[in-house]
Amino acid sequence: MSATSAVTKPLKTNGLGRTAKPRKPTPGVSDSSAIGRNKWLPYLFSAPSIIFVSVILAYPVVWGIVQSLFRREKLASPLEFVGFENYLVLFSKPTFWDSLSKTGIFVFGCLILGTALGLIFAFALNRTLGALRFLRAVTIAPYIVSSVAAAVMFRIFFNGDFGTLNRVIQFFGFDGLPWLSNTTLAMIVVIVAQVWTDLPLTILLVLAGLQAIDKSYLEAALVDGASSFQRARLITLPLLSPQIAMSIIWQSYSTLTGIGVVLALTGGGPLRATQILPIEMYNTAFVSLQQNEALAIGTIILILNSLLTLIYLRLSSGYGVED
Amino acid sequence: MSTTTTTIGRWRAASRLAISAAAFSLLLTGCTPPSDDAADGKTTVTAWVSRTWSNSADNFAAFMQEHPDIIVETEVIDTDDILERLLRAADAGQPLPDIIQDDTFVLEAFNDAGLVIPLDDYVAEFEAEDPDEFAKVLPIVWEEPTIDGQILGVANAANMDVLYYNVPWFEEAGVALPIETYEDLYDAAVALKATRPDSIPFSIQAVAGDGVTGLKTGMIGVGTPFDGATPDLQSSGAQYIIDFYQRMYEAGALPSEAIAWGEAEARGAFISGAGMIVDGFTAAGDYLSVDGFDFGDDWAQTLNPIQSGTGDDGARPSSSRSWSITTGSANPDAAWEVLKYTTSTDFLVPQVLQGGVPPRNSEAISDPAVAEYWPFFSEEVKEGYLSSVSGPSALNAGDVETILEQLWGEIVTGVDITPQELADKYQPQLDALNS
Repeated sequence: MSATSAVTKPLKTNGLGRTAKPRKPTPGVSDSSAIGRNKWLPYLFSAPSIIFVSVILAYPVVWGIVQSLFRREKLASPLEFVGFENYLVLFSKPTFWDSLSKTGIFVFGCLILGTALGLIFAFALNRTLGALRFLRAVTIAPYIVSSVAAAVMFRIFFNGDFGTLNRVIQFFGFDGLPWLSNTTLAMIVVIVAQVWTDLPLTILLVLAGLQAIDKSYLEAALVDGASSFQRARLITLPLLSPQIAMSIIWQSYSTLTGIGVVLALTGGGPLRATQILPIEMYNTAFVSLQQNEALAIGTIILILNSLLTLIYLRLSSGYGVED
Repeated sequence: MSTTTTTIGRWRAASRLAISAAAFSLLLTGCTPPSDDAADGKTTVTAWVSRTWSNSADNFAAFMQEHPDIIVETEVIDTDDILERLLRAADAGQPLPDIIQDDTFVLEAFNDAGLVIPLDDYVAEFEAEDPDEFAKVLPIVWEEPTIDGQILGVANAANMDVLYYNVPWFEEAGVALPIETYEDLYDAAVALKATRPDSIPFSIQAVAGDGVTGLKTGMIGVGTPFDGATPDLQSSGAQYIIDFYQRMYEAGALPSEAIAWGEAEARGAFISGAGMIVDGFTAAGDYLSVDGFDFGDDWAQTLNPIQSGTGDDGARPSSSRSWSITTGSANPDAAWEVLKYTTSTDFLVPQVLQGGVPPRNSEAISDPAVAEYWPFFSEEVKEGYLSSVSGPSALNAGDVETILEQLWGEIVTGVDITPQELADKYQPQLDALNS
């Protein structure tokens, strides 16, 4: 007898000397309820929400994917089914690969900076006491500012000739920097601006996680002589992993699909330095007037988003995050 | 009464209220009278217009008084996708509007899709029946929307780029007006820089997505040949303009961060006194009229040059929107009456007063109301506008601009590369769009 079976509780017999098999519960089936008499009834009750979600959310996505398989020869020509031609056209363009690499830099930069700042702010806000707790409410402010308005604000702030930042730098006797006209600095600026707009949600998620942590774990670690860093690394961060995973998923979604900040801040420039995929999609649709090709880019963004989400969930499952 | 019972009672009351409101709304919707034209003997002409300034009640009020049998209903679709909407409506078998107004360069696509009808007979009838009124309409109104020999639209108003300049600083630097050639403009910029070294003589914009109007205006101004929307960068005119802007950059006459500047930065620099000349469209004077920065004393308009000064001559381009009748119109005759009205002073002057663009009608453009509303629209500028030509256009204009934006970006960032090398780099990309 194996060690496992040795500790298994013996099952009751059915009086015929045979072990009674435990009944596998069937979804929606119960001996005593009205629902249990009809196995389709639960699905019927769920139907309105399924239909609602399908029509409102799923249909446009499916429609977009299907339309990416069509193409107009000329702007006003009839739509023709072309299979994956739009995708092949995209893959043959150096500008697409350039945008994809810029997207990678943008998303990675936003995730690193956004998560780091989110954690720092959340830890700081978690320690605020008394009247200073109003700061927690203040952190939501960037979230209620429209992304375009935020971009315009940053455009003024980072303007090389008249911007506030360079004025401050010059006040201290240094030369201002060409924030928006230098290709490297422009990417940093759009990352900072995007992170600023997304930061509140990260902070709120992490802060909520911090406040849900049972203090006894930390107190016990303290008694055992764990340092602050050890408590954070070995207790707080693992317990926060569901919230961190959720905020990373959200930030990925926001940065991969977000267009407002970059479009209004740099328009994809200078010299394509911030030409991320959503800008490429926008230009393909409204400048090149190739709407079906633009939908192909949209589909690629969707796939990238899904893949990233799966990877995050897989990585964070080790910390108890369930998908 | 328990709390639970009270809550349920309130919930029921709220539900009843919501249901009643919804039912009442539906009832009201049902009470809307059907638009049965035949019933009251009136014809309704529907129009999709691309800008709000074409859609005020004032625009068609006088027309409907004159034509009590026609009702004009307009809808603003300012998302630059009227063609796509029209195609979708046609595909779905939905009724099309009688009239559309859109960028003239898109008219080719409307024509390709068989969505607009030729207007030649109507125009000929207009000329024969009312020659005096017809004579006021500039010929470009019919010429610009002519495709394959057929008039497909009415390009009744257009914009043109002009130069806005700082009056006292021009006087201070001894810059003479008008600026006849691009060489004169270069000399003016150098003189302005010499008198005010900390200022920006020429506030241009080159941010991605804001277009390259300044570059194109210059190219057309020195006679660069265009194939559709595509310039010949190897031509002497294009080579001159690239060199002109490169020299302007080297002289410190352009903003150091022009590649990050859009309209707002360029205008802002001009208004704040940091910039001394700004390139902008004719009606943009509205945006410059701020307290403490007055037209006449502080700023004024002048024309862009149409000569290089080294032997290349060109013209001033203007870009228009056209009105057309769709093939889905059940009342093309009534729709034509509306289109004819859009060429009149009665229509065009209110359009200006609602923030529109200069009219292509010799009477309307000299109307006292226009002069009062746009004091900066001087006789000199007006003459330049009346002699302007159609800007180069084609359906791939957007793609062409995307490539020219890269070229423009390299010019205004002072990249060390000759005009010939830039042409060698970008011309193949442009040609590929036409292949």
